[in-house]
Amino acid sequence: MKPVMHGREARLGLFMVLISLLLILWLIPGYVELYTLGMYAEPLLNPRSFPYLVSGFIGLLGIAMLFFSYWKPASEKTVSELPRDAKLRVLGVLAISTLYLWLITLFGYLLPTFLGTLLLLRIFGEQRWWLMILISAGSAGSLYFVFGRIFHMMMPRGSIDFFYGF
Amino acid sequence: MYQLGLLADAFVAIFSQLDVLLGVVLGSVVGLLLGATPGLTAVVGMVLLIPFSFHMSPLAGISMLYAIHKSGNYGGSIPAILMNTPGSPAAACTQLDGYPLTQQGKQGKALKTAVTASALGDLASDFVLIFGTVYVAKIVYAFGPVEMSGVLFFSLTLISTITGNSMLKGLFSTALGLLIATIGLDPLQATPRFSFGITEMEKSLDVIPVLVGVFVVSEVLVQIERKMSATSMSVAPQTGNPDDSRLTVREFKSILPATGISYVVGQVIGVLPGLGGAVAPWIAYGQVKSFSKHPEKFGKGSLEGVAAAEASNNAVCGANLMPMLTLGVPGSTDAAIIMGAFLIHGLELGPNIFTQQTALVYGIFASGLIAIAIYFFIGFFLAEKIGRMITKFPRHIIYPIIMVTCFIGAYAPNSSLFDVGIMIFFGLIGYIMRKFSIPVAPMVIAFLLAYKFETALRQSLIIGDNALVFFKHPICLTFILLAVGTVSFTLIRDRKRDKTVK
Repeated sequence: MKPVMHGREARLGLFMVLISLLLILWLIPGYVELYTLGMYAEPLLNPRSFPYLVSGFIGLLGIAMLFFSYWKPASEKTVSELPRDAKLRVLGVLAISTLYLWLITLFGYLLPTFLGTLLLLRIFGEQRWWLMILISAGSAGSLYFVFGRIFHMMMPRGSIDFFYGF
Repeated sequence: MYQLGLLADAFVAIFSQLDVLLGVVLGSVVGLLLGATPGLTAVVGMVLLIPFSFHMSPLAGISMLYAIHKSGNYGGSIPAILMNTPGSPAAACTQLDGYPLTQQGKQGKALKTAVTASALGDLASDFVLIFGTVYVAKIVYAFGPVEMSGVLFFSLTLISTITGNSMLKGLFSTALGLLIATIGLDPLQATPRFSFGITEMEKSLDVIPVLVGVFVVSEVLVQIERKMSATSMSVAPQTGNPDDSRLTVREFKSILPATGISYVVGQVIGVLPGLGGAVAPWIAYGQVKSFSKHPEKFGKGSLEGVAAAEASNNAVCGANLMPMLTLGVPGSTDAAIIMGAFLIHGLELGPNIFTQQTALVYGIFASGLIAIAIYFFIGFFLAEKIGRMITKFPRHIIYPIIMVTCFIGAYAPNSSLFDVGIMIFFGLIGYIMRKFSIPVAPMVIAFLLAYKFETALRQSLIIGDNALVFFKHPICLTFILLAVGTVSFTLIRDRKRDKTVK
């Protein structure tokens, strides 16, 4: 059988090599302090040694992945592509999550949780508005009650929080 | 047999503390329902309830998670038998004989066989855990940093090579977990690493947001790929014959050898780090079939087949805790989550836990036995009703509720919105890893073990002055050779598999 480059695995291998290089050449020297006193200054004992070890290992794995991706049988080459609407739904959930996180800093816990649940229910395919409102209000309220009132946890407070102290 | 006395004390303690008892009952019921719902596993339940356990006593919280682990492992068999859809990966083998029995109208018999074998396998595994673990702990007690480096190196290698279909991807997942764990303070000199000037990143990343993101948020993202509507699952009706819905004494005796063999398989596999319940049933099924007097019935509705899959699947539960309690090495994803709960409560795992937290350890053992009793009675009398109820579960409503519970769950431990962001980030990482068929379990287990591994490695180097120290200690050397053996075995296996594909 003729060897075929296995696209997805080759991309993964390349990514691993790049991550490894990024770590070794920039992130570790730039963002891990080097200890220069006593025995901890020795190469194997300083705080950079373990990240270097792991990063080097990732690089080697990437090279191995690139090598093996070339020799993989062609039958493993096909990868099913995700339909466009499925991609949109995944992106939708991620966008709602990020928006929710931002809204919490403005409006506190209750209102963004209500809105977040409402939008998530819609994206998951629920059509009935009355049910969506009921579930959103119910889940936001019950989580607030359990964590805020029973567990006495400090709930997130926003800069324009209508429900603070409720 | 002083363990019996400790166990009796633990039972008294549990029945006198309402929160512990409620935790076990809640854990057993939630685990069973989630295990029985296709697409929702016990892992999801455990991760979602960890934030709640944070506000409970350590015994109540950890017992609740342990109960979910046990009943969730059994619960997966219900849809496997009734709907030909396994509720968990571990139950995939159960459907081979379970569903043909349902097609014959004998689902009651199949469900009773499943719960009986599960409970027996689980019980036997728990007895080994209760009476045997302390002896393992005594051996481990003599381990120094060099030996621990060897043990952890072997465990991480085993987890990487055996989980998933590709050794390279498994190793990458492990390396990623080790790397992520380096964010925060260095374990020996307390200098910040990869904090990028962000205050929250100067301490290590919290366990809960990582677990919730990798296991639950990524699962929600995988589920949203499919457009959800009212479920189309249904359960076949029973025959009118009452014999078809009960397990006779003769049938019970006939499944005992299969249960015994499968228990041994589950026990051995459960002790090994990383393998877990998904592998054990297949090996046990093959073994039982080869020993059976009626191998021709396998795959066509054999009670032995159902018993084999289920006994081994649940025998893994108790066995998983042995390496976790003695070495601090989780035997499976579920055990890794339980280990996370120990860490959250500030409890260090290892042989010392048997002397420093005796009441807690035996309390967990006792609550495991109570959980078995609860899921056995629910499963024996209500499994079919639960199966029919599951078909009506509106999953498109459950997932959004799970998602908002995740948000508050990630926020809860430190009251930090930064942790919610970390959860979303790890949800995306977990989702991408799944898309590239990279197993997520090695990453999480490596993340949990990294601190211990790095500390042991560097302490060993201080003791030995150079890297040869690892080869001078016989126990460490044995584990290094075992790791090399595991990698070689996996390479040979993969090569053979590739040749077969060609």
